[in-house]
Amino acid sequence: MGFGWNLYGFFLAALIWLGLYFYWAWRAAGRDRARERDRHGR
Amino acid sequence: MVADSATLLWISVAYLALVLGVSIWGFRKSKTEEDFLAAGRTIGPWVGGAVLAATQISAGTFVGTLGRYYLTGVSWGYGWFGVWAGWVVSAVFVAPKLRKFGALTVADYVGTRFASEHARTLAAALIIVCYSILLTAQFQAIGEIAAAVFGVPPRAAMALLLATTGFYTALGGVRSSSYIEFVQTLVMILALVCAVPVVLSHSGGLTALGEYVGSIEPRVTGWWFTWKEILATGLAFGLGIAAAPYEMTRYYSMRDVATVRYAIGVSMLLQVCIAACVLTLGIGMRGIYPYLPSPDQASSILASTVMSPLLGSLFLIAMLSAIMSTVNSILLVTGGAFAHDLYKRLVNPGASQARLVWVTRISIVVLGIAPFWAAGLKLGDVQAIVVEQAKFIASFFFVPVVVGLNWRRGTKEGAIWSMVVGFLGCLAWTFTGQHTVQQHGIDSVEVGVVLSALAFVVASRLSPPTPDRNLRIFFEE
Repeated sequence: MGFGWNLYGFFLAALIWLGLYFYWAWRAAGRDRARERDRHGR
Repeated sequence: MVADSATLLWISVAYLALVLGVSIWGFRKSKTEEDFLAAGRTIGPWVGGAVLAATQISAGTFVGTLGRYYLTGVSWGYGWFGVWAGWVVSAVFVAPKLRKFGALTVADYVGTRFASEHARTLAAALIIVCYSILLTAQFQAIGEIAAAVFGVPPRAAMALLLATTGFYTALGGVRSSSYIEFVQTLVMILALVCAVPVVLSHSGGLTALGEYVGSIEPRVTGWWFTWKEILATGLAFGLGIAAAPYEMTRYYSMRDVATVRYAIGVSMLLQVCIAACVLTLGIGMRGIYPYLPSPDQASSILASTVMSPLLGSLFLIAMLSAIMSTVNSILLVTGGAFAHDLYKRLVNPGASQARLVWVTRISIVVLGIAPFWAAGLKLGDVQAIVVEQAKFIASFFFVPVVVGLNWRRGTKEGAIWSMVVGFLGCLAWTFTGQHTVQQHGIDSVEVGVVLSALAFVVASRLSPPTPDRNLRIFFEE
């Protein structure tokens, strides 16, 4: 009758979402830096 | 009652003094259009993230969304994933290209990408119209809160909102507004985080709350909405966020592309905190007051009777912050669109930087007055106006922005037809009474976006391509 997996699942899903997003942003920033280095190296 | 408390007065005075101080600092720093509309491209990821969150979180979140949780419970929370999906679409397909472009307004993008002054003017005009309607909802919200909590006439509260927010927006522009919104986000988070333990202690803890509320209405702790309804709502919110002009203009003010990506992450992190707290508070209020006449009363009763004078005052200031930050962002977009995209292009192309900054300031104040007047007419309830205008903006803007930034073949004819058809499609579907999910399973925003996409592709294919010099900045790789 009380709270079930849908409440705790919401919090868990939100944390996973944020973790994946920041990992992607960090990788994208790394790619940008590598591209900049290549451009200046040429 | 918090409304009688001197605490509220002192907190309000301190808050407004801080806002005024930051605005004066912003005024001294804003000499050019780039300073005023893009903060000199100096905003970092934490302030930028807080700005994006503050812009999105409005009166609707504190009053309407909290009320929705009160009435329908946990399952409404899953609509947030639609909002966050919209942010991810923006981070991947929109924000990096816009920041690299580094213009001042969203209509700047439309004009340059599609090599068309007509498309720019149309975009600026539609943005001003839709955001003026959104502004009406914000004025209406402050009027209703002031009347419910303090017994103040709604017009007086609306006038105070216009005077304070219009003043600090016109004075300091995006630079000071960004730091003010950072503070406003912190106030919102602090107030919500402090309110959760108070509400949970009043309702006997999380487990007891779940059991009690579940016994009154099992769908509050279970599933009120079906997955189809949650997906439709999430899609509507997501489409609106991915191409929201008041968020996109803020990308221009950030340091670089990486900053924009991190800022969107920070914004989602802050939104997760806000979503979790608002969800808990809404359901908690159902446990304390199970039979309120209107779910929208839950937040004002929470502030005025459940919380202590200090925390209640903080909560009311947080609600005010939510409204002020949204009003501030709308005014910056409409004022910028009028001065930069209409006045500078059509009226006075030779205007100096100082003149343009002053025209933007005057536009901000003038464009705030019409919605102030319209708010008195009560065109609809606050949440409905907020949701409907978001659908219209997504209908005419999602395709030219998201598809236009990622498909080279899009042309000015495609952009103009997609905006017109998307807007009219959403309008027709809304006013023929077919806009509710329950009736047909198809929302007006989905109709608007699909028609807009079709018009964009067909008109683009039938017209000559955009010149390469206009595309280079957006399709460098």
